[in-house]
Amino acid sequence: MNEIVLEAASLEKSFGGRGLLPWGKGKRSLQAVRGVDLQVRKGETLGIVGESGCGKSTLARMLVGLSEPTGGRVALSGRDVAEMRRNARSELRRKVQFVFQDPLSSLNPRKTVRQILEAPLDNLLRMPRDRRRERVAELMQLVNLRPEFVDRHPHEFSGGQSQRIGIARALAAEPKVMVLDEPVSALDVSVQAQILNLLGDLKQRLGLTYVFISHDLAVVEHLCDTVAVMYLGNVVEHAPAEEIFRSPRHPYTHALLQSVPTLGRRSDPDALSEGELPNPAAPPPGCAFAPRCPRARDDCRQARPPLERMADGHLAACYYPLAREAGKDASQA
Amino acid sequence: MTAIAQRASGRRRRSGRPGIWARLSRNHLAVVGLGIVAGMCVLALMTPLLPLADPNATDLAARLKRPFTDGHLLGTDQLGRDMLSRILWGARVSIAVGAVATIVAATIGSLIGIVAGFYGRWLDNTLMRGVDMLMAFPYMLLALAIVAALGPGLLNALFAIAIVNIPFFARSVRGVTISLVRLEYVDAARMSGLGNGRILFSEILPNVVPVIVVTMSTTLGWMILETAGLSFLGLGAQPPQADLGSMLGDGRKLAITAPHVATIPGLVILVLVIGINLLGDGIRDVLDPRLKSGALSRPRAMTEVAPAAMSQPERSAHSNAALALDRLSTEFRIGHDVYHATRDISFQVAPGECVGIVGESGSGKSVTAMSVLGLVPTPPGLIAGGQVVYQEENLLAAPLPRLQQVRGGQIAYVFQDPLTTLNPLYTVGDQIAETVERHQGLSRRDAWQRAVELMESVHIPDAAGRARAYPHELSGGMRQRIVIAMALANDPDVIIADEPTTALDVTIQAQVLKLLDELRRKHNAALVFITHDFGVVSEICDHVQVMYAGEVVESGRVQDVFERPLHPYTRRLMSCIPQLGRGRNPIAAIPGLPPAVNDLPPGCPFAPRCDVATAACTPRPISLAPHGEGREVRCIRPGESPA
Ligand SMILES: Nc1ncnc2c1ncn2[C@@H]1O[C@H](COP(=O)(O)OP(=O)(O)O)[C@@H](O)[C@H]1O
Ligand code: SF4
Ligand code: SF4
Ligand SMILES: [Mg+2]
Repeated sequence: MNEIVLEAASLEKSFGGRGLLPWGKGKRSLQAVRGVDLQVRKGETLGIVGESGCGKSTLARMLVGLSEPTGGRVALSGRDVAEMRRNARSELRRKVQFVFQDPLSSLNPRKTVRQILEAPLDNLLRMPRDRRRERVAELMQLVNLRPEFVDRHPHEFSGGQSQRIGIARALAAEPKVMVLDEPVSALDVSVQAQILNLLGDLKQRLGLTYVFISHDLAVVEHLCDTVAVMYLGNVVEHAPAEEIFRSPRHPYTHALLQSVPTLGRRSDPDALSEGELPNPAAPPPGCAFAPRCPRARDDCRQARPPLERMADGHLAACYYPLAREAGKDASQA
Repeated sequence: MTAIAQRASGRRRRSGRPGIWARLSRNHLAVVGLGIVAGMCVLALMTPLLPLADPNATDLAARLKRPFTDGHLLGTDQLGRDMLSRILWGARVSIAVGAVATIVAATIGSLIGIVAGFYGRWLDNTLMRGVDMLMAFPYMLLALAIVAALGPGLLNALFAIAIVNIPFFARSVRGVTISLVRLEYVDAARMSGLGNGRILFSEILPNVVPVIVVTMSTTLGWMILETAGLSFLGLGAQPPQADLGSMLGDGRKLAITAPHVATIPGLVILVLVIGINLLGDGIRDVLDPRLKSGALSRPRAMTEVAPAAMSQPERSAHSNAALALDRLSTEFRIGHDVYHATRDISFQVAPGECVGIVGESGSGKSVTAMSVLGLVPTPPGLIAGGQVVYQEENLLAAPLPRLQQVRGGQIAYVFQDPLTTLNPLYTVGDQIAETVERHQGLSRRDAWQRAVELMESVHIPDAAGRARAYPHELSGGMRQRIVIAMALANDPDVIIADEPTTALDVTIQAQVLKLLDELRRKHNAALVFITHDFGVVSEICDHVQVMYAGEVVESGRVQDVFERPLHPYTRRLMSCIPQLGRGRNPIAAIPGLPPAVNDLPPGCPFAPRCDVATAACTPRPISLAPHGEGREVRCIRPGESPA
């Protein structure tokens, strides 16, 4: 197995509840990420899936050092990211880069593509001006954009083209690891396919490691080697992609897979009880999934189930996991 | 892949959206304002060069001369000083003080706002509490207090005016800054290695400048007025220096004997401030992003319909359909461009049946749906041709009252974002009850009872309790159920759902799809279901219409179409969607982008991206032709694959 390049340990993030004044401190805070452990190995693509508000983007931003954890730590090749953020910020940015969800709002409307792409070359790599020009042209080629577009402004591009620019911006720093937060969710299916193929191609050519965040299970299955499923700020299941799609062990993963409308198969809304999504500011005690879980029993509501090894490389956080292969029908459409 | 590049950026902004000057000049009042302001400024600038009398030279022998007397065009004041000269010199002072005060207030206020908005937390708290304190005092009183403390004088008045105006700048600039800081491009700049200082100056400031300019242009007039006010009270310009306010103050005592002494400076202030405000409003309309792109012109209550679309249907042509569209075409006219958003759309839905419309964004799905009940905004929308047949009537020819009766009654809509349908100020129960009341004339209590029943029918737990909730208190899935309950309120014959589950999570989507499916069977309603997701179509629809660039390219029974797509677009679209359960199967992307609908080729719009196109595809339009049982396809090589 390859070495671990990016690692999260007991990672937590809460928002609010830390007022300046003493009486502000009592305010209820929202814990968006509640103790996540993850390891990303060199050259792999880790998929992170989950529904809206489960903490995917918050986690992603901590992984690249765009925001500071309120607990736990992130390590990049063994080095603490929080420490790098303070003392070696440009080294951090050179090693791990980020691709944003919204291709339009991630590009400054007042800058040209050249200015956007030159910023990392100048600030992070300290590249001289003439070399920058060359490199920008190379980057444009790398993401299949015509070099003469380089003096245009973002509004002149379609969503797919803008996302190519966003990818080129991230690649400019020559990172080892790329964290991609829903990079194709805002795109139409035909354009989404172009970008997915581009990402696969770039990974091969440049030997990148990806953390790929998405709510679309089919896209994750298509692209990822391992998959972590998040629910309400926790990783509830983590396994090799093949394994998780063939034989999910956590009832939530199973329900997700059953809910996806797929050609030629009816989805099964009964894989979930009709319970409401819990309020993230007031998560239920014990297993956060219990109110919607058809398998829940009383003891599920007492203490939070830990992420435990189910089989080789397969982790799940559930007291009553599904039997192996039970979800087989789910993936054989 | 280069095909993508070649299609380049079909979005030609210039044609649709004229430049700043062009838009400003379209606003006649702003042009008048500009004329006044420019005229005044030129006069003020040229004053020292004009052959004028000394504004401060007194001549008691010639005091209070009426206007139009020899040598004194506007007469003289109580000390015999030439009014014309004093007015011009005075206006010069007033404009200068107002402008400088504006610049000072804008600089300090914007700095506070941008720093507070960017750094947030305690810095924001401290700065904005300070600003709030400034605002807590009555405006003019604060200015008076400041001048009282600093002592009277033009410079001190300027400071006072500037200080009391700081909050306006600080607040509006802070607001935009906060919204900009949240944008992803600020994070992208961080990832590119930019520090806070450079992000402030190169990413935030340029995007804040329009707001600063707008606030400046709308406060300048006020500031001139306020300066005049202080001078009027004797706290601004000190004798003998003239400014418009002090002249007004001097003239006040002579209002009866020599009205011109007060009237003339009063008129000048009036005209100047009106001019500045007209211009300022014009600038605001041009620069304020919310007012851009014609949002200013309120759309009409129904879409404009061309006479060609007004004909009545032949009887029994669509006898067993709940709703039939017949060659419906809708276009948008923007500037000199005509966007052919949908062309020649024909399909029908039977009671209890579900027809899906599937396609990528911009393919015309929503425009089709909204054309049915004239909900496409006019301007710029126009229904150019075709018929919408409901109960043997062409709804396109129906007058507005009839349409309003049908809307939310026999034909109901469910949109993607439930918040566009729900009013945040009323409880959801009230809103459903209101729909029931309007169409069925039930009493309030019965309507409320019915609302709760409807909420139960869409499986909302504790419906009686939830009816008292406001929309924001419910989750997205619950809100969409409420909207569906509203759509069901009057037992509709047709439900048109435009991407009703796109904003929902998959687990919730599965529940809402099941609900819609159950309801259309129970109520025997026809369902038109719009989506971009083939999986969803296969889940709920019986028939499907695949759209591309405003046209239906293929239609048929869902199973048939998905098992054996006939149109190359459908075939390629299906093979570029990752399918759950297929593992890491490669996907084949379609190169290129759909054409812009204001610049369509004469032949098949898919030809540039089609892998089986031939020379026969491009010269003339391809028509939708029947192909086997219940299927239609708009292609001359249906079902063919590349060799
Ligand atoms: N209010 C409008 N003004 C101008 N053009 C519009 C308007 N609404 C839609 N269009 C244009 O009509 C075409 C079809 O749009 P739409 O029906 O919304 O597509 P879909 O629902 O399939 O995503 C697009 O080219 C779109 O830009
Ligand atoms: S721990 Fe209990 S409630 Fe939680 S997922 Fe497992 S079975 Fe369901
Ligand atoms: S008509 Fe020609 S270009 Fe159009 S889809 Fe058919 S084969 Fe392709
Ligand atoms: Mg739409």
